Amino acid sequence: MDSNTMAQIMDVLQRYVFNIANLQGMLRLATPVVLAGLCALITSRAGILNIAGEGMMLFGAWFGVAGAFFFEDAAVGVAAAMLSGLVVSGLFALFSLRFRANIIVMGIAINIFARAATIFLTRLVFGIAGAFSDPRIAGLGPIDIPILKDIPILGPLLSGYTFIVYLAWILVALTFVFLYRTPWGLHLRAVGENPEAAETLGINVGRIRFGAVMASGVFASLAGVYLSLGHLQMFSDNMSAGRGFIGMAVNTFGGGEPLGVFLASILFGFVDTIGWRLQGERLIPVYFISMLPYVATLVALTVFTIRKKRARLAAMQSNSNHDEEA
Amino acid sequence: MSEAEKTAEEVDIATDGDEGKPTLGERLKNSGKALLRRSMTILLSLLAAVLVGSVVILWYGENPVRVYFLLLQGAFGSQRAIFISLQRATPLIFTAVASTIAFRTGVFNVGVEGQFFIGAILGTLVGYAVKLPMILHLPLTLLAGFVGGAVWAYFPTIMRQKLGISEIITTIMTNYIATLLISYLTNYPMRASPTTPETPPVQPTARLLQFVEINGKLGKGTQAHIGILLAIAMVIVVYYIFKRTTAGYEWRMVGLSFPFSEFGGISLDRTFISGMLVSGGIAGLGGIVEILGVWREYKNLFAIGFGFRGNLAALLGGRTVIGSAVAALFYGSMEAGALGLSFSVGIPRQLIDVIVGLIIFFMAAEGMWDFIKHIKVGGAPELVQRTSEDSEV
Amino acid sequence: MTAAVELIKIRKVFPGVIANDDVDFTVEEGEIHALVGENGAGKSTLMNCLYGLYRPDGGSIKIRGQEASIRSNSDAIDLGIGMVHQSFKLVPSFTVAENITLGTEPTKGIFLDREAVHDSVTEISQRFGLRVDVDARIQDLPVGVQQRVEILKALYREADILILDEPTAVLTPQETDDLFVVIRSLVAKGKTVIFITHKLREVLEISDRVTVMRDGKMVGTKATSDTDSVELARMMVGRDVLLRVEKDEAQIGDTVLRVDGLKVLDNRALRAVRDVSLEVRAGEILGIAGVQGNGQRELTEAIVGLRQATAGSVWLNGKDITALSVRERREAGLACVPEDRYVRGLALRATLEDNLIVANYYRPPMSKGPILDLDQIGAYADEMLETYDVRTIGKDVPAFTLSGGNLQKVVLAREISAEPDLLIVAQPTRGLDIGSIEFVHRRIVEARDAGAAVLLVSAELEEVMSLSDRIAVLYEGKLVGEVPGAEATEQGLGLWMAGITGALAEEEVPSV
Repeated sequence: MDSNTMAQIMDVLQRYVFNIANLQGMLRLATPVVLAGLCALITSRAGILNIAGEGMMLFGAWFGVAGAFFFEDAAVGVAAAMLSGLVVSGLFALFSLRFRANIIVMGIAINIFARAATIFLTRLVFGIAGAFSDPRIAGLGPIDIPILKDIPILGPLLSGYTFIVYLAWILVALTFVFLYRTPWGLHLRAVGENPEAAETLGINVGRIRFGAVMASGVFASLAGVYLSLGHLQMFSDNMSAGRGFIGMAVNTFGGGEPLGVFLASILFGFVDTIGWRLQGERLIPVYFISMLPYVATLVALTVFTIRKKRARLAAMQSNSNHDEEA
Repeated sequence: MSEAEKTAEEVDIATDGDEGKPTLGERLKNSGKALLRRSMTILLSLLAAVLVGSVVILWYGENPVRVYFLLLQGAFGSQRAIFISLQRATPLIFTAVASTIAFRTGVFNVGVEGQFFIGAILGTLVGYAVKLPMILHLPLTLLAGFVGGAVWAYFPTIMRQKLGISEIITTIMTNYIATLLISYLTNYPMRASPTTPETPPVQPTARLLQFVEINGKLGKGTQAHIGILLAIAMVIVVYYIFKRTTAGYEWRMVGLSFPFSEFGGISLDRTFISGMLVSGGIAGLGGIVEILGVWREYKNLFAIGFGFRGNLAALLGGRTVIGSAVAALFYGSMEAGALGLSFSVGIPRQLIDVIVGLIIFFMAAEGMWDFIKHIKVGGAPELVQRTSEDSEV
Repeated sequence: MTAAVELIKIRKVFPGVIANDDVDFTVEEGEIHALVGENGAGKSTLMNCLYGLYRPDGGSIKIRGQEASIRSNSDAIDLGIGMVHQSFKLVPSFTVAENITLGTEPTKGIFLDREAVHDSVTEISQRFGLRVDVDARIQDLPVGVQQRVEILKALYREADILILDEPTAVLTPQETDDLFVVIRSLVAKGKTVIFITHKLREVLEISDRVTVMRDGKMVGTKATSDTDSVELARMMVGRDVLLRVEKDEAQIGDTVLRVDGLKVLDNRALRAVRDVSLEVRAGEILGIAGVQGNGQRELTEAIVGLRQATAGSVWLNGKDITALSVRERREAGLACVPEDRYVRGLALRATLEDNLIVANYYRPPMSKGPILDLDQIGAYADEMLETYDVRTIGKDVPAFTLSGGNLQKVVLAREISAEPDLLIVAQPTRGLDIGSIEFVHRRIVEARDAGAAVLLVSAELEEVMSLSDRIAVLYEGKLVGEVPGAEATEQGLGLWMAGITGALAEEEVPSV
């Protein structure tokens, strides 16, 4: 390999991969996706098909702005968002689990409702038709972490993000610990895999499902408030832009594991960031980059399922062989 | 009720000694009572939604009675209003019926949204790229719309039948892929002008005439078009298919009981697939009809949620062809009314989505209306079947 | 001595069916008590009431003489009741230890104490002599070992009363012996065991007393030493009235159905049909007797085409139909009255008309091309309902408005009117009243006299004996014995149904 090609490769790597601005953008873009992914994860591990993440996120975004506006304090905004997440997911759980509504229908209804209601509320409460932005909305400022920020190279990569970015990382770790190191996490996984097993051992399946849905509401609303208060302090129509569903995609692609969700989100965040660059350089239109999570999910589902079928077939073989020993 | 009891109710059809069971007369009365119960549920849900809506309106500072009156006026109050209602309802009729076809076979087609758009874009392509006399061009364009939607429905269906993957997730994914794919198409290869992402307009030979273009006085001030007639024709055709064709029989039977259908010799795979393809096709047809009647080129339609609203209308309409069409008409006219509302009173037209959302919430939550259950329903055990046997996700 | 368990007048009703009808059931301390009955007899329901999965609508429960209110599993577990279900309640991705301790995990603060989990389970496993790899994942373990885990689960929670629901269905004979050893040792340690099964041989082998249930009612309890499989079989299925069907001598023709070396798996991938070969000729009724659960369902499903065989072949009129679809087999002359009347035989929410045409709607005269001929269909339906004496106010009513007997008539109408070469009837008169039973029997004989080959599969000994020209018994997936109808005796059939064949050595022959 001659030095010219080497230089070209180094140049590409430097511009796309080792570019601090890109990497920072990647982590920022990944944050709402990670949270949306956790939202999907916690309910899917409990055996619940939750497609209302999008709507919950939107409510979180709106109430975040409302809280930050009226109290001129970003912390209140975050708290308001989380509260809205609990209320919306609480209602969702109540209707789907207790009143036995079809959970898909409920999910679609919540998404449509959230879209309409947030526009409606913007008119009603702020008197604005369209995007709402006001200097009085307190935003989430960047946090400089002492010591960390002074590390050469890694420093700017790890320090200087807003609070929710770090929160997302912490939540990923906490979710892992919860699922695999605490009894409640064990119970939740049992409920998701074999609810009858859990029930016959005295575990309250209904309560766990309810809790999972409410937790997902908190995750989704955090994603929402990050969108509205994280960079620009504003609320606009359909702010979530499908991230709730990308959350489902990273959950599936990440195999339902917290670490998998995190890595998948980073991956998609990375691809998204350089996507715009690539479009700028007229290499690939950004739309195909944006399609990646969805296409990847379909591929992953197909591969997982084929593998599962093969494993099941093998297990059946061994069972009937075992049965043969007579 | 415990998990186990729920499962037992679903599956435990044991013996049925004939002593002590309801008589024939009682059974019929019971099924009549079930119908009564259902109607009451819908009515109560409507009432509850209207009540909550009234609270919202009051909060806004307006008089609910006046607002509802204006709503109805905006929907039906004048000739112009009726035309607008018909126009808004047209795409919803297509997506609602599309959803219903899938529902009846036992499949949840959330992908109507994406199929609508793909049908629209493919139809638009044929609409502007091909030059033919109208008598050929128009049907061809419509056909392209149908084919686009059907093709888009094909992949999730195959994944469901061959691999048992839930169609809910796959269709949601394909919806987003559709949106992005179309964004690409309208920004690059199909782009008409360098300034805005739009396609070239379709040829005049591929247009669906608007009423105002036929006769200046008809539908004046609206974009109502003859697509509504196509919609009605489609409803009649689909209704006929369900009632009087072998395919319709298969769809119905598989939806009512797939173990029975399998036992009788009906091919489950073929039925599910044909149902989904037709469902997708009709959704796609709805997409191209909307383009040919109103826009005449592909503009960004994504903000409008035709597919999801169609899903909801199908549910409101009790998952029957006629019912969904009526529900779609209702939804569309309410939207028209809400438009008028936003001009006269300044209440955002999203109020309608809010109210419809509430109706759906209340309707879907059967358990909420449990107190009505004292109207007892007897008869042979209710059978709940799983729609796709290996569905795991 | 106070009984360990007393169930008094237990009543449990589900929509449309009385699963437990004032059942009295008593189990003594330290005994092995077998509970037998057909599918749907109510034995699982009864035990689920005892275990707290269902709440009885009436009656009471006494444990060791004390009134007990069992509202949930936890209550049952607290009272020392443990249950091992037919379908295991295990979480596949969890380890053995995690499954056993689920719900009562030892904790260190808010975290799981994984060491304690491991150790406590190892201790229990050794104490009772049930060896398992405590850290293995359930999904990697064979079914027999999974069952051991289930038993340990109950023992871990200090169960004194163990309910085992069809435990040997998943075990090889060797493992069954091992299980029996375990059961006996548990009983020696003071446990009480309730054993639900349909395998009469095991009942006779291991139980002290046996109770029979039928149609949700208690039929009777006997000391095992005082009874035999014929009596038990009759208690499980029999009717009080002896029915004899008048039939002419059989006019036997060519072979219509031939089954060759058929092997079929059930839903759990266990061998349900292990090498069955049989022949049915035109104009004769071959009756397959046997208590449900010995492979009857899988056999009929394989012949009809609802289930693929893993080996062997099926021939209809000399044509190999093993690879054909259900529709193709029907077109070749097959018809079937299935044992799952309300799931397979009918679509309860569809109209009678729709139910009647499922096998011929796509052909003339019911349809012309893709269009249904509604007039023809209506006429056909009217004719069927008339000929088969179905009591209904019309053909447009949904099927669930009819009674069981009338519904079976609808199924018969559809299947027999197709004038099939092969008619399979499985458990045709289960749950029907006398009048309907007579009607069904007459129709079956009529079909046979019209030249059809009839394969009758029934757990009702009297029915099989009175209808069949030849009788064979299906036991654990194999046909044991065959005898002409006139020469069959209850005694002989009963022995076969308990798996006791002519030469005892036959059981040890490995399947080919």
